[in-house]
Amino acid sequence: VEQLTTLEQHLLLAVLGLHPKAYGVSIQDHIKDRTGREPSLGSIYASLDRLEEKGFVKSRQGEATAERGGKRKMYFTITALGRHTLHESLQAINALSHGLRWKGATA
Amino acid sequence: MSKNRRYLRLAFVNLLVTSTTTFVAGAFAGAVFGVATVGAWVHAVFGLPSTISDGETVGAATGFAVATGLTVRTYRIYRLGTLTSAYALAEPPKWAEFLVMVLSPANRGDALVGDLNEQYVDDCRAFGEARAKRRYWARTVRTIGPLLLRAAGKIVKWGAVVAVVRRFF
Repeated sequence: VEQLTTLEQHLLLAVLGLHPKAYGVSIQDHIKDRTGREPSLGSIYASLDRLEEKGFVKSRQGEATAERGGKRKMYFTITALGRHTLHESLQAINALSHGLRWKGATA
Repeated sequence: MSKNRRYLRLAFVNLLVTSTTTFVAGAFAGAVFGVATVGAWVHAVFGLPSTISDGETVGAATGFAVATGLTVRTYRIYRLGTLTSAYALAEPPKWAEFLVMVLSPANRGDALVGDLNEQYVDDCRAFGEARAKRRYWARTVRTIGPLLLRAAGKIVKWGAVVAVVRRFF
């Protein structure tokens, strides 16, 4: 199974959570609200480009609004392969963290 | 009252009425129609840009700015030898737009610049035009890095493919 970086996990979860309205700004806000980290739009688009190449997400052109200076939005949706890979990746994290004793484990 | 004074007073009242009317019109346009439509709307009501008077332009622009929180820059232009007035909405920095557009992956440029523009309009409302422009540049700088890395990665990948193919020919 393909390994996902933390940002890729966040992006796939955001795309899944915002379906069908996941585009650059909404994805960035979603991740910022939930994790406190604000990935740049450049890293979001670069990672989504990579994920699309691997077949984990699909993109489609959206509407152009006045506030965007007439530029169209690009909406992203997760594919079945992407959903499966994300699930496997999160399962691996769960398996690693399962049964950990947090107290007294620090140096 | 002398004739000149009367004319002066009439001109002042005329300017006041025009400015007030267009102020209300601009505020209405800003509140109801939003950012992009206001230009077309003001044109439709007052005629082509060259036919809008200074008073009308300033009135509409100020009203629009009050309603939307966006700066509307008014300026004077010479067209066909006549001094007329025009207006423009605060625009995002063109060079920043250009940089992002050039460095974006294929068919992603429009979407990326659109996202930055959307945030710029929100920033204009929240912080004013000058700070919004600084934030636009800051976002652009943060955006360019990952895009450059992605582009470099693609070049290296294709370079490796070409090198492998060359070994066989």
